[in-house]
Amino acid sequence: MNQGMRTKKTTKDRIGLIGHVVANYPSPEAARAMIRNMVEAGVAVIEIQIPFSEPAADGPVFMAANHCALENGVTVNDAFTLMHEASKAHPNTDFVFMTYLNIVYKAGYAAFVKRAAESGARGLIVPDLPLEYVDRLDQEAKVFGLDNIRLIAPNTASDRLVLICKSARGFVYAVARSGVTGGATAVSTQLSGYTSKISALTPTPIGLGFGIRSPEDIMGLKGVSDYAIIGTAALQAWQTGGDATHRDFWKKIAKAANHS
Amino acid sequence: MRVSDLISGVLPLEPPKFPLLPDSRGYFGAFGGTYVPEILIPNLQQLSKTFDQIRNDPTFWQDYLHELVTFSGRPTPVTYAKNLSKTLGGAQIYLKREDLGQTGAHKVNNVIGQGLIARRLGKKRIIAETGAGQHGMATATMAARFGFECTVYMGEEDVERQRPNVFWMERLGTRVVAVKDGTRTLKDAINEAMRDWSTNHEDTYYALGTACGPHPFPALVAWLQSICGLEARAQLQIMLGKMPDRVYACVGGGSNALGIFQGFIGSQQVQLVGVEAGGRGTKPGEHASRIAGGAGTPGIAQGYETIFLQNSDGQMIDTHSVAAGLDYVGVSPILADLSSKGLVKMDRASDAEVVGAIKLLMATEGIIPALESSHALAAAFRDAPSMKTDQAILVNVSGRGDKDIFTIASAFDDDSWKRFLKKKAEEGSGSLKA
Repeated sequence: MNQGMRTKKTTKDRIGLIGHVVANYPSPEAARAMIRNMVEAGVAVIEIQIPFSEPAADGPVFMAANHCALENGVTVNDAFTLMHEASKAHPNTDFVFMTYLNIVYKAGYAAFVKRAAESGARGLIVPDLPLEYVDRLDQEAKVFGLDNIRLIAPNTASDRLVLICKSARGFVYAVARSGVTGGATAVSTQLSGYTSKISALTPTPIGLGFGIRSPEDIMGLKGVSDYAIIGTAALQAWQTGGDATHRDFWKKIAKAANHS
Repeated sequence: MRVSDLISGVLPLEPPKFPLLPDSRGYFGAFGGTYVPEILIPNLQQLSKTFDQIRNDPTFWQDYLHELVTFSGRPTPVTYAKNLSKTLGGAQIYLKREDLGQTGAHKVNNVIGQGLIARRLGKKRIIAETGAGQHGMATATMAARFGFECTVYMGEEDVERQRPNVFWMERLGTRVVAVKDGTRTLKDAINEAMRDWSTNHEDTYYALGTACGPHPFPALVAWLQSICGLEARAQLQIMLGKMPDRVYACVGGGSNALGIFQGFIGSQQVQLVGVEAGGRGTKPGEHASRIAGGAGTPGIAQGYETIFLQNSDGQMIDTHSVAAGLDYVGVSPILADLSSKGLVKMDRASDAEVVGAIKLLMATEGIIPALESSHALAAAFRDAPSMKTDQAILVNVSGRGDKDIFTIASAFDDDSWKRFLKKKAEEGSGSLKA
């Protein structure tokens, strides 16, 4: 049995980082290199996305990445292999699976979670699984020591926010704005109101995601959120200039986050 | 039978009771639910509440009927297909003529209802997905009439197959977005509409076109389509003095089938038959039969749990049908439930059978059915000869075939049509140069 995630609340002058890769996209080697770059930059949590043909919460960049990975023949099995290798190679980083519910459902909740735990995953992010239906996955996650991450949106009603925060584990994934992944988010005082509302309801750390793209964004989020989640901008850095540009991107982000 | 009865006694004047409500989790038996990103939950909860209100609101129903009668030509007739029945030599065949409504398909029934809801909710903008283009067309006309800004998402492959519908939507003032992701068909258009709704949830209403997707859409769309079945039941009572023995409807998402079935559900003696796309074979990728033939398996995608055509990892697979409106990977959770309980029988018809059915209906009755509806016709024509002549079949002609002229002409291998296209293409390129 795993021990769940090792995330913790941060102080005003420091912010933790959460990164993302789509399993074996654009290639098995590239995904492994991206993970290495992130670990070197001190990223605390890395999401490994198992590609799905209907990525409802993803914007154009990750949608294309999902479809391309599937066209390249990436399977659920490949994602487990990557998880196993990465978690073994980088024992100080928390790895979580991010995927859509059908991947879990089709494998069987118990079988999927057991295998995820055996591969070294410490948590799960399933963006199309609302609170009303979490019991089954929560139950299995508890058995195998994984944290089933809760997601919150800016328009989530107050009474619902209370319920979601009550059962939060690992970190609360606070979606910073309307829409899908990849667009721009203005870091504003509104955001700090949003995260302090969550903080008041749960001691679980907060990860803010959707539209965080630059060192400037990261500076602005210190004291607002415990973690900043970066996906699209990092993948775009890889797409622009490969390994070197990706490494450089994370170095700058880490510097802003006060990691180096 | 008095003709006047067929005019005055057919429309359901009170809001119809709805026997297909889901449980508190949005489930119909083992299927349904609301599996969407958190950002969409408030919108769906609001829509759910509104649906509960309008279902018992005679004012809403009156507004709805008024629009359908004065704008869309309801009630649509039931036609007794005498020549066809004689040719096939078995059961008597009756046709519910949804092809005669505004924009030529049953889709308008749903769209008018959802347009009235969007107005109630104070939304300014309507978005929709479309496969064959019929739902997009219906939405575009409604948006023009009701004064909404409108965007329709359509798979790139469907845009190519259904250019005439795209032309009309754009002329009606709708923005048509060709979706280039995934298989570039209906499911991808639904994904894209959901993404738009996630981004613009405050001012935008998503008018989903079929009885699929997250709760409350399956129930809402099925309820709005029930008018078709309730009319047909009253019409057959007047014309025939009894219930039909079987009712046939094609099943893409399932809205026209649920519409007509609701007139007869719960009547033990009526067999309800849903007909899926048998395509060109039974191998994966050659058809879109999710239930009939057993190729589909339970899954959760596009916001709901149902039977999907997917691989062992849970990835949705390619489908095929000659009819763009039937090649959807999922199916209404209500139909998945009714079929698992034996209340609806699921069947399929191949592309070739469908073309045969169109030919026969045109030759015997002078009616041009849509490729989609012709699946229901094909299955009915297959079964009718083995039934007795005092038995009756009702088939939902859910849409008309004009839109399919390119596909049907090519299926018929019509040489003069090919020459015409060539000439038009040459003229077109000439005028572009000039």
